[in-house]
Formats: sequence, C-alpha cells, structure tokens
Amino acid sequence: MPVFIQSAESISPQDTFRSGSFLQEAIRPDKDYFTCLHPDYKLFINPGSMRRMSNVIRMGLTASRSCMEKAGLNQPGAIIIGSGLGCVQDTAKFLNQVIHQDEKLLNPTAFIQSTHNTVSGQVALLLGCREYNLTFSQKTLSFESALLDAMMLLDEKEAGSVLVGGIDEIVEESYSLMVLGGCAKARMEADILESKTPGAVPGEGATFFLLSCERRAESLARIEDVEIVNRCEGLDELKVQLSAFLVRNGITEADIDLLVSGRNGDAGSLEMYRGIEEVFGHSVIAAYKHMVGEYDTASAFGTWLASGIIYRNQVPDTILLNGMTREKFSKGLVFNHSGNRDFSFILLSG
Amino acid sequence: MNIWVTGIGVASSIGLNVEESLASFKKGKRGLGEIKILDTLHRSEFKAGEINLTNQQLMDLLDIPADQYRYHTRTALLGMIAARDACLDAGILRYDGLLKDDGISTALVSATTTGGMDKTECDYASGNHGSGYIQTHPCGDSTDKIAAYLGLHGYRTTLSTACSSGANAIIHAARLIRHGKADRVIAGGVDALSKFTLNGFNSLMILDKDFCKPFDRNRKGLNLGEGAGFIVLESEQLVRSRGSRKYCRLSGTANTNDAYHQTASSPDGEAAFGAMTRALEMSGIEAGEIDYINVHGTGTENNDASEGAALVRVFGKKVPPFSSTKSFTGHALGAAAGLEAVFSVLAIRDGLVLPSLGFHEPMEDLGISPSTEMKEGMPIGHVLSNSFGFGGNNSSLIFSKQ
Repeated sequence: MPVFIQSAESISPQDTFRSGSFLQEAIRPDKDYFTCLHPDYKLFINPGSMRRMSNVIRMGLTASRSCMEKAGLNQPGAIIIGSGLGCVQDTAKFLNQVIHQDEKLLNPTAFIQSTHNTVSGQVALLLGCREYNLTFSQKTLSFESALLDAMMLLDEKEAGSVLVGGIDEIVEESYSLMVLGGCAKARMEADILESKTPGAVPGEGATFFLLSCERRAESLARIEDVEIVNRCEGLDELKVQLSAFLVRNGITEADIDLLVSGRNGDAGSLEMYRGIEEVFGHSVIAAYKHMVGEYDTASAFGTWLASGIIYRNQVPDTILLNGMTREKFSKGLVFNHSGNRDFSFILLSG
Repeated sequence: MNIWVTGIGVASSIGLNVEESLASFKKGKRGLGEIKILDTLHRSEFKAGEINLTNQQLMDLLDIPADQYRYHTRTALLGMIAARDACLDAGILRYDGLLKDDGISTALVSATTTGGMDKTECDYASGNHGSGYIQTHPCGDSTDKIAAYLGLHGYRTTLSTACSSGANAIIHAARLIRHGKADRVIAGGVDALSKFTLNGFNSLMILDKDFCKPFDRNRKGLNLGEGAGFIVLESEQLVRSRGSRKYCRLSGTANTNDAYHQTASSPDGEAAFGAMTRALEMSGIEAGEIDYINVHGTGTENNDASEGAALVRVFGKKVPPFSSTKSFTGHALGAAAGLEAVFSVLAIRDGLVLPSLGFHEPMEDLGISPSTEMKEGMPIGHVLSNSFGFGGNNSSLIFSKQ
C-alpha cells in the first residue's frame, strides 16, 4: 500500500517551524553545537503543565500538534516515535540527584519524565489518542525503525493514519560528555561538511509526519520504502545492497533526482558518504547536518527536507552540495550511516 | 499467517535458564531478597529480584575475556545469556555459539528501559568519562551486543516503552515476519537493576519494603527485578521447511494507550480492557477460551485495581485462573514482558497454571483471586499475557497451543 506524507513539522536549529521560508537563510549557532529555535510553546501547551516540562517534551508536543493541525486531523490512528537518547535533560537531572543527594529524598518528576516513551505518552495525552503507541530507541536507526513499523501498520490497515516522529535533544552536559567520549568536535568549524577532524557537530530536533494511504493534493510526498543495512563489508557491498533496494522498487540509480546525504562533519564517516554521493553524481545532492547538527534521529529532518524539496520542486542554496539543478523532483533518496555501520536509505517520490 | 514460538530463553532471579525457573515455580521459591550486588544505600531496605552474580561472573558464563569488561553493561550481559539460550533451544546455533549460516533471514527485536544505565551511573558518578559508558548508555547498545554475540548481522531494533517494552518488541517482531522482512525473529527484553530505577520507583513511593502482594487487598507496591527473556518466532513456512519444534502460536497481540496520566492507570482500566479485547479479536478466540492469564500484577495499588477492573470487564464473572509471576521474579521492567512471554509458553508446553505468591485477601470491590497453587497437567490451550507501563502504554499477547 502506498504511504503518503500528508503533513510535516519540524522544530530545528533553523527557521523551519511554521515558516514561510524554506531554509532560505542559514542560521549559525553561537555555541559549538546546534540548538533548536524554540517557538513560543505557550501557544501550544497549557502553561500550567508546561512549567515542569523539559525541552524535548515541549518540542515533541508542539511539533506533533502542529503536524496534526496542518493535516486537518484531531487524532492519528497510531503514534510511533523514534528517539536515540530519549529525555536527556530529565535523565541527567535525576541521575545527578541520585548521586548528590546520596539516594535520599528524591523528587519523582525528573524520573517520571526520563522514560524514553515520555514524549509519545504526552502526545497521546495531549491529543486524547488511545491507539497504538510505540517508541523505538536504536541509536541512529530509531527513526527508521519507527517509520518501518508505521508503514507496516498502514499496510495491514491496523490504522488509517500514523503520526511518526524522530526526536532528540541536547544539553550542555551531554555535549561535554560527547566531546570527552570522542564522538563530538570540541569546536565548531567553518566548513563542517568538508571537515578533516574526527567527531560530528551535534544538534537536536523534533520532526513529525502524518502518514496515511491516500494521495491528496496537499500530500508532500510518497514514502516508497525504507532499507536498513546494519553491517556490511565496505562501500562495494553497500552499493550492491543499494542497487538491489532500488531494483525492488522498480527503479535504478539513474532515476534518482535527489540525494539527501547525512554528511555530519566526522572525517571518519566521510568516505562512505562520498562513495554513495559519487553514485549519484547526476542527481542534485543536498546535505543538512551543517544546518541542524548530528543526532540519532537527524534522518527524520533529512526526510523532512527531501519531502519539502519534492513538494516544492525547489532546492534551497543553503543545503545544496553539488552544482546540479532539476526542474522536477520525482524520486529522492535520504542516506545516513553512523561510524560505517547502521546504513539507511529512505526512498521518496513525488 | 501463523507465527510460531520455536525457542525460549530466560535469566532472572528465579533461574538462569528455563528449567531452573520452572523448578522455582514448583517449589514456590521466590527470587526476591536483599540486594547484594548493586551498590545502593537502600540494599537492606527493599526486596528485589536480583540475580546473584557479579558482572564478572556473568562474563565468565558467556566466555567473554576480562579485557572486554568495559564494553559490556550488565543489561547487555543478561540479554546475551537469555538470547543465547532461546537460540540454543530453537536449535539455530552452531557449535561455536554463532547463528547457523542457513540462509534464513533472522532479526533481533529487544527492549529495555534502562539501557546501559547500570554502567553509566557508576562511571559518571566517579568521573570516569573515558570508560566507554557514553557508547554503552543508549538503549540500542545492549541489542547490538546481543546481535554481535550471536553473530547476527541483520536487522535489529529496540523498543523502549517502560513496562510494556518487551511485549511491544514481540508485536513489532511478528509484524516483521508477516511482512517478509525476516523469516525468524528473536524477540524479548532485558533490564538490569540500577540505582536510577530503584531510587526512581522509591521517589514515587510505590515500592514494597516487604515481598509484594499482587492483587491482595493490602498490597503496598512492587519489588523491582532484573533479567532477560527472549522467544524465537518463526513463520509458518519456515517451521514447515526447517521442521522446527513448535511450542505454540503467537495468535493475538494489541497495544493501546490510556491517555489518562503519565504514570497512573485509569480506574476502569480502559486501555487494559482495550488491549485484551483487541488481542482476543486478533486471535479469533472468545474470552471464555483463555485458560490462564499471566497478569501484569505489579502489586501496586493502582495497577492491580485498574487491571482487575479491566479483567472483570473482559471476562465477567468467569475470570480464568491468573497469577502474577512478578511475585517470584520482581518487576524486571523492560525484561518483564519477555520473561512472562516465556512463562506463558511454558504454561502451554507443560499444562501449567503458575502460582502467585503473597496473596491473602481479594480486593474489596472486585472479588477476584489469583491462583496461589502451582497446577500441572492442565488443559492449557490459550494463554493471555498482560504488560502495562508508564506513559499509559498497555500491551496484551495471546499464545495458543494450536
């Protein structure tokens, strides 16, 4: 069964939330990592309930609500979310309490809000949705797992529509630990995408899609398929898997108009990104992590970007990686990996 | 399409494998007691279902060399033990412990709530930020470690929906098989005890300092546990071609949301009712055909009242024999539904109604009582297993003999 994106919303480090502009300008962060431009949450969440909510919950609720409003729907038939690290702020808060208060007299709020499915539970509460509600947490494949489950659910007609999201947050403390752990750069760089140093530039975001099986005039794009390749021997084998994936979907590499590449600034990851980009030298190639940073569910933003380009038949200069142009975008591919494993391809069409 | 359970594996405080666990049920021997391994100030205060082995000892059981210690959280180690056992039981491992190279597409769907927190909370506290805990902290790490240990290179993912996680892993796994994304899936969940969760539940004031009393009028809360439980699911086609041993079918599944409160369940158990009803619909059997229910039964005032109300709504006056095996193992969070899926399969395999400990008096308004005695040789054709978690997440699974 075909699956269409009826609406999408993204709270990100760029002007994307309910924005009239489609990444026309690139906002540079003032820190060494990317943080979201937060909307006025009071307009979307009851100020009383909002008081104790961490950013990730506010982002999730607001992006979800906006996505549903854009789709003209009160409730989805299911809610499926991916998050690599879950609620980092509340996890850190409670952990620090456990340590510094010697396991005594602890406030439960941070603990309650630290569970990975807090966002999906809160969204269900907000929308009054009593249907299927899952949260996947498989590192950089969290969003892909959620998307796969959503597509299978729709195919089985277990739900008429699914609200699918990818959400992760960053806080100063988690950034410092990522730097110490060797996965993030200690300093922002001018040209992230061509960086020769190890480590990504981290970011955060909340991106939601309302998916269903009818094509409407306002549908942004069709999601054709998701391919996950967890382990492979190298670029050659990956290209073979990619070809097989495209053939299964009735096309070849030549049919791809747009490649959205997940280049993240980590020098060690660049070879695989370049290798796949070279397969699509004839396509328009875009990148986005120099605008929103790297985080486990960044590919949700990549999908948002791809669907936006396909819908508008327009590529913003801020994200264009090669010099190619196209009048019309029929087929787009979002490619991501993490440390030369956990490769994913999301195929979209107009 | 029929989906069959062809292998089972567990590790919990009542046994490091299926046979040990069964023996504990038969002897009425709880795995709950004082906390000995986890370094917590609350160790004598609460009962927990802790596995009485250090991480070092777990690694020895798994033949992991000592220099690999830093890469393995307790969560990963427990998962490796149970997943390996499930695969051994299904007859799909080679002599060297890796999955057979039989060209059958095999996936792994695990579940956890704490992920690598058991290691994170120690190393973070001691400022040992180079220990590798940043890499082992995420939920997906224990799943990747299990996959690596089994030599599984294909699709793996992790569910994290609090106490219903393991059931949702099984639901996603079944979906993968129905869609031909895998012919065989190892599915279940894992969690290790941690100061984070012990203190978290304590701050909510829902821990019982004594042994928990699921469904009892005077119940005071839950006991935490730890462990891992996995089942191997195979498509009908694979079972026929491989001649796999069939335990039972996974005949019905459902997940619903209470949308009532972040942690508490609605008084009339609306989502629990919905989950059980939909699972029954999917399985095509009537409520009256359920022979045994492995309830979520944590022993908290809220869950048992809510679940009890839902049971009466679904089954009327004739609630089938039911028990909470959490009275033996404690509440192992992300592992709970995985453990209980295995116990449900055992109930079918050996015709069992498993016992519930700590019960003396039924809740006033409901008048239902769990089975306190172990029964064997019963005609158990269909078993219902419930798992209800924070975030209003409610899941039910039905296993059927034929």
